[in-house]
Formats: sequence, structure tokens, C-alpha cells
Amino acid sequence: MNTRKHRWDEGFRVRVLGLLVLLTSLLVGLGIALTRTYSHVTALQQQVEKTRQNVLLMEQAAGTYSEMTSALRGYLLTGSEPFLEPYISAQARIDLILDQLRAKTDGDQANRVEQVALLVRDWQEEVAKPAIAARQANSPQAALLAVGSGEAYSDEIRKAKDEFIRTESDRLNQEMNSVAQAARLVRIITWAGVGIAGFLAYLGFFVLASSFTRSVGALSSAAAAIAAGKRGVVIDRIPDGELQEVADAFMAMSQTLANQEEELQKQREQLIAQNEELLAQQEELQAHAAELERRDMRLSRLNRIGQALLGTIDLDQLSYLILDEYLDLFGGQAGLLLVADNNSEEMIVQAERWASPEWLGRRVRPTGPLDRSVSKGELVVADIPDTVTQISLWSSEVQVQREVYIPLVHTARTIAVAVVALPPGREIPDEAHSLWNGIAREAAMALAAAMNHLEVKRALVALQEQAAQVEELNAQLQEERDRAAAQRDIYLSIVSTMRPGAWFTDPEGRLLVVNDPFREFFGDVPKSATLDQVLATMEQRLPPGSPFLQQVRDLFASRNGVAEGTIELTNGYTLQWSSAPVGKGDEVMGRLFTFQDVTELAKLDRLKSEFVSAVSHELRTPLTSIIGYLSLVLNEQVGPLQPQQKEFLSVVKRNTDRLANLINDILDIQRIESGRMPLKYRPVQLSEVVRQVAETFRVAAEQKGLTFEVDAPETGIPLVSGDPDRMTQITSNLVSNAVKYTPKGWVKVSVYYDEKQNRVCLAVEDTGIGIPPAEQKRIFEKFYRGTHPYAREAGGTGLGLSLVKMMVEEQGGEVTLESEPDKGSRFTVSFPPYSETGTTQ
Amino acid sequence: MARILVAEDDIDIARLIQFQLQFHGYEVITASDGAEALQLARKEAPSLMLIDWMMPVMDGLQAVSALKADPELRHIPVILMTAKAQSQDVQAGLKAGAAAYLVKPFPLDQLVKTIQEVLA
Repeated sequence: MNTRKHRWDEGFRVRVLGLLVLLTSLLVGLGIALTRTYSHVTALQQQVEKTRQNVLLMEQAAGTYSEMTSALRGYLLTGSEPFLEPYISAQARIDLILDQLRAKTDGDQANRVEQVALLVRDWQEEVAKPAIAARQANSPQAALLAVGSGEAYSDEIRKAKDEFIRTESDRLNQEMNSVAQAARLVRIITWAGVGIAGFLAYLGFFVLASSFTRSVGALSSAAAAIAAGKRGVVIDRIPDGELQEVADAFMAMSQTLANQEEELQKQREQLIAQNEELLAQQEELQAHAAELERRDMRLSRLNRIGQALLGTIDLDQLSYLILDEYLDLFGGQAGLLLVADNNSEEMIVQAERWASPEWLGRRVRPTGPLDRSVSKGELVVADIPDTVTQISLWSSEVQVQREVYIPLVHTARTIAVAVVALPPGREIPDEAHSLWNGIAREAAMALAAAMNHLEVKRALVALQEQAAQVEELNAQLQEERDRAAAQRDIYLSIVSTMRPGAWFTDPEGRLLVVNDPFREFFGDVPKSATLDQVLATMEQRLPPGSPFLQQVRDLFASRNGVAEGTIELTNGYTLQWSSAPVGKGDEVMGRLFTFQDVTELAKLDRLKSEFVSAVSHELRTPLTSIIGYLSLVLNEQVGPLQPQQKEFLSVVKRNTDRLANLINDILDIQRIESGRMPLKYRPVQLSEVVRQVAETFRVAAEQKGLTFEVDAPETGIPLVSGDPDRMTQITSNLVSNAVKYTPKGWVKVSVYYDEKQNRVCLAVEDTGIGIPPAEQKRIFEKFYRGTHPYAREAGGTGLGLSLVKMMVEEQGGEVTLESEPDKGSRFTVSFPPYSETGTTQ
Repeated sequence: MARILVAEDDIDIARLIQFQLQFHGYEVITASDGAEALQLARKEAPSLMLIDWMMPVMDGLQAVSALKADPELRHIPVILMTAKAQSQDVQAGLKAGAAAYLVKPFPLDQLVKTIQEVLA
């Protein structure tokens, strides 16, 4: 047995050795496979962590970008600087995040990060900054429009971000797949190793002796057991010897395999857990992405509303737009929009959906939830039982359980409230909670703009109405102007054909037309000549210092003045001119000057005057002698006279006196008529003049046996304007007449102030022969003498009273007569006072 | 009694005045123009002069002016007589230095009254 055993031992040892080598290499292969798998798993772990961080950072970046856009919109809507702070801090943060991402990525992902960074930068440069600038320049609409164009950037960024996250997820999945492959490989290697071991065991069994068979069988079954997945196999029926060793080694191998497999199992479980975790994270990420998507949608909804609101300026349309938006947002069934009245505490129902129609346009004093909403600017939710007694305003066709009061606040004032009615069981959607305020800001802004617009429009309509009225007036004016022009044309044609010289101007003095006689007198004037031009032309033909030019200027200054006069031109013409405004009623169309050629008349008049003057003077000298010598004889200074001689000489004397008076009167009348005796106007104290003049008649009156009375108070009589010489003559003529024509009784001369008429009066009364009514009119005519025999006998020129009348009227006064035949006469002369305050005091 | 110098170119009027004044007791000297009147005035030293405006050689107004310019004669009061009845003539006469002004034709008693007033 020993020898056999020895022989067997030698061959066996070689075989076992080979077997062992095979087994050992099998184990080493397994070990290598396991190690590789392990390192795969570790790498995967790191990869998962990295991916998670990258995805998180990218999400943060996208989130921060959203914050920036929100903050920007906030600023643009409100214009308030605090809104810019979140924008600025987000700006800093997004750069930091992108830097971190840059450090953690490479290849395509790094490019995507760069793309996002570029998009964010471009958005800032091309959208945000211009929008802020526009808002600061106070054009919110332009700013919002600018932001609108930022939508494209948001889309791009979102796309880049999704791409990035998807790539990261793909990478993670790849890693996980490779780990799973490694695990499969280990399993394959294990199975292959066991198969090889079994094969070797069976080989050993056939090769080794039959005694050995059992051991090998044991080994083999153990190997089968191992191959079947059993680990830690114990082989106990192997006799001592090398087989035993093999068994031991086999058992150890089995044990090791068991341990390693256990380890692998654990790692696999761990991997599965990690995978699950990853899956969970992925879901979370997807949820996050969905949330971002929703936020995006809200933002775009806000944007859409903002655009719609800004696009509408009509208050009604806008009100319905806002109301419908809230109904949509809250899922409301019916609603109202109340707008605050600027002039009262009340609110006006501006829009309604499913409210009782009569509410439209009504005024409401805010109470209850409406008041709370208005005064606090907060969203107020009221269940119907609270308000049913106050407002029962919904249509009977809708069921309302709850009302939501949404305040629209603009510049810290609630300018409107939207009331949304919710049907039973309807809860306020989450979206409404987060969005109502944003919409409210924009809506309030747009409403305020619309209300302003409405006011501006009303003012505009009022202006247009005024403009229409003005136009109508203008049309009327034009019509009148046309009429006036037509009339003026008629005047012009009349003027040009007039015989006297004519100069026709507009009311301001601009020349309209002059006719040929005018040119003959003054020379030609340019067409449409100004007043100054015409006057300059006239001046050349006027003697130096002629008052005519100033008179013309005064006439134009007075507009309605009328004047006439006579001018002598240096070229020999004497012209009688007159000027008057031309037009209908108050409407002055122009002014007409006419110049009548009176040269020949003037010459004749001058000759007549000179003749009369010379003759009168020449008559006076012989009259002086006649009267003087007659007086000497009549006074019996040269000897006594017989009564008849004396009587006849008295007749001569009376008629000589009359002749002298006649000459005086003729001279006076001639002077006044020819205007050669200019008046010297000055304040005159009429009573003083009258007293002096009247007293000179006292002797004559008393000689006649008349009572002569003068009542001319020194005080209390206003001054009059006149020429004292004329006043003297007037008084003298009247008093001498009174004395002359009063055979008996009295003569009374009085001066008084008639306060009622505001006139200063001189009255000369007598108890004389009187004047019959039929003669009263003619008494002021030249050379008219009364028919009363006494008047004839008394003698007179017949010029005295006409002189009085001329002189009184020349000085702006008037003379009246009251008389009754054989009872007496009263002549009254009255003048306007010199001035209101100037009395003789 | 006062001596009165009458300057009048119309002989009838001069005679009339002379008669009337002498009747009232005045001594009368006559001259027929202004120059003669001035000569006589120096010689005779009258108490008053009655001068007609319209005279040949030197008219009444010139005579009054000359008289008033002469220191020896300026004290003699002058009454101007004229047919010029206009107030500006009266003014001119009084301005030249005449004490009174008589418009022809004047009543004789007015002449005497005026002389009495001037001399008074």
C-alpha cells in the first residue's frame, strides 16, 4: 500500500499542484473582478454627488434669474428703488453660482454653463438695463415693452438649463449602467470559476484512485454546492493526506468565496439603495422643474395681463378686462369692479358680470368687507351670510357662497376694488393667492392711467366744444366782415365820385381811398398809406403851425368824434373840411374827411368883412361929431331951445343913437359869423359881470320911474367858462332891452345856480310890453323887430337879441324866453358850470 | 382948473371936445397929430391928455408909447379915443399905458365923467 501509495503520491502531487495553481488563478481573477466593481461603485458615488450638486447649482442659477426678472418687473411697475435691490443682489449671486458651475463642469456641460452665463449677461445688457433706464426716464410703458422682449432670453435660458440637467442625468445613468455591468461580470466570473472548479474536481475524481473518489466526490459535491451558490462548504469525509489539504484549501476557498460574495451582495444592496435615492432625487428635480415651469407660466400670465392692460386706455373696456381676469383667476362666477370717486368717499360700479344690471354706474359707500379692503388695501374674503344683508347684488341665476374683495392699489391709495363671487364649494386656487397682487398692481396702474386719460379726454371734449363755438363765432364775424367789406366798397365808389375832396380811411387811419379833388388840393398819396404818410403829404400844403394836423390825430384817437373847420392851404385853396366816422351804429367802418373848396367864397367873405369893417369905422367918426354937437344943442349949452325945436332934435338924437348901435351890432355879427373874433375862454364869475353891467342901467331905469333890482349873489354860484367881454355884451343887451321896452313897473336881473339842471343862469325879467307867442320864435332873428307900437317907438337895431343868441350859443349856453303880451318877459340864459367843484367861494 | 391936451385930427370932433371941456371949466389945448401932441405936452405940461388913435404922422398908440417912455411926460394920464371897439384893441391901448379908453361915438357926459374919474 505504501509503495502504491508513494507512486500514487508522486503523480497525485503533481496533479494536485496543477489543480491548485488553476484554483488560485481562478480566485485571483475573481478578486480582480470584485475590486474593479468596487472601484466602479465608489466612482459612481462621487459622480452622483457631483451631478446632484451641478443640477442644484443650475437650478439655483435659473431660480436667481427668475428672481431678477420678477424684481425687474416689480421695479418697472412701481418705479420704486427698493425693488431694484433684490435685482442687484440676484445679479451678484448669479455670477457666483455660474463661477461655481464653471469650476465643476467640463466639455459640453461647461459650454452650456457658458451659454447660460452669456444669455444672462445679454439679457441684462439688452433688456434689463434699457428697461431700467426707460423707467427712470419715466416711461413705464416703454420699459414694460422692453421687458416683454426678454421672454426670448428666458426661453433660451430655460432650454439651456434643461439641456444641462438632462445631460447630467444621462451621465449618471451611464455610470449606473456600467456598475450594473460590473456586477453582472462578477457573477459571470464566479459562475465560470465554479464551473472550472467542478470540472477540475471531476477530472481529479477520474484521475485519482477509487479510494480517493469519495474524497473527491465530497470535494466535488462541495464544489457543486459552492457552484449552486452555497458558501462555507465543509468537507469532512476526506482522509488525511494531500486530499485533505485540498479539501481544506477548497473549504477555505469556499469560505473566502462566501465572504467575498457576501461583501459583494452588501455592496450591491448599497448600490440599489443609492440608485433608488438617485431616482428619488431625479423625481424631486423634476418636481422642482415643474414648479419652475409654473412660475414661468405665472410670470408670463402677469406679463400677458400687463400687456393687455397697457394696451387698453378705455376705462370701461379696461374695467371689464380686469374683472374678467380676476374671475378667471379665482374661478369666480360673478363679479363687480368698483372704482373710487376722486371727489367723494364713494365708489362707482364700473363693471359687472352676473350682478343685477341696475348696479352698473351706481354709487356705493364702502362698508363691511368692501371698506376693509379699501382702507387696508388687503384681500378680504367674506362668506355670504356676513354680507347678505348689506349687498344682495348678485343675479338670482348664480349661487354665491363667498365673496373675495381684491383691492387695486396705486400710489398707496386703493383706487378700485374687484369683487369676485365664488359658488358654493369653490376654494380659492393657490395660483390666485400668489398672483392676485401682481395683477392688482398692474391693473391699478392701468386704471389710474385710464382715469387720467378719461379726465384728459373730457377736458379735450370741452375744449373741442369751445373751439366749435369759437369757429361759429368766427364764421359769424367773417359774415359780418364780408357784409362790412361790401358796404365799404359802396362807400369807396361813392367817395371816388364825390365833388368835394374826400379822404376815406379805416378806423385806424390807414388810407382806403382819396378822390381826384383831394389830390388836386394836397397832392397824391401812396396806396394804403398810413395816417402819418397822409398827414406828411398834407403838411407840405399847410401853413406852419396849422392846428389841423393835431385836430385830425385827435379825431382818430376819439374814434367817434365829429369836427369841421376851415383851412387855408399854401397853394391858395381855402377848404372847408368836415370829418365823421362812417358805419352803422357802434360799428365804425372808417372815417371820411371831406374838403369843400370855398376859396372863392372865402375871398368874397374877406372882401365883405373888410368892406363892412372899413365902412363901419368910417361911419363912426362923423357919427361922433353928429351925436356930440346934437348933445350940446339939446343940452342947451349953446343957448335955450323952443320946446318944439327940442322935441325934433330929440328925434334926431334918438335915431342917431340907433344908427350908432346898428353899426356896432353889424360889426359884432359880422365878426362872430366870420369867426374872426376868437373867444378867450376863462373861468368867469357871472354874477360879478352881471352886477357891474346891470348897475350901469340903474340910472336910466330909475329915470324912467322903473324899480330896478339886481340879485347877483357873490357866493354860492359856480364859475362858468366863457369870454368876459361876451358875457358883458349879453347882459348889456338883455338889460337894455328890458329897460327899453318896459314903460312902467320893474326890471329884475338875477343870477342863480339851478342845481337840478346843473346850470348857472342869468334871468332878466320885466313887466314890459311882452312878446306875443307868434313873434316869440322870430324875436331872435336878425333885424326882426316887434310889432308893438311902443317897440317901434323905442327904437332898436333888431340885432340885439340875435347877437345875444349867437354869443350864448357860441359859449355853450342856451337862451329861453317866456313872455306874455302886456304882462312882461323873462329871458333866461344858462351855462354849464366851469367845473363841478369850482364855485365862487 | 386942470389943463387938458386934446390930440384929434378931425377938426369937428376936436372943436366939440374943446367946447364941452371948456364948458365944464377945463383949460384945453389941441393938437392935430401925435407928434404935435408930444411937443405941446413938453411945453404946456397938461394934467391929462385925450388922444385919438387914428391920426396922421404919429398915431395915438405910438404917441402913448412915446409918452410913457419919456421920464418927463410919463406921469401925464392919457385917455385913448377910437372907433376901434374890439376888445383886443382896448387891451392893446391899456397895455400901452392909457388910463382909459373911449369908443366913438361916445356921449359927451361920458367923456366928462371919464376925465373926472381919471383926474380924481
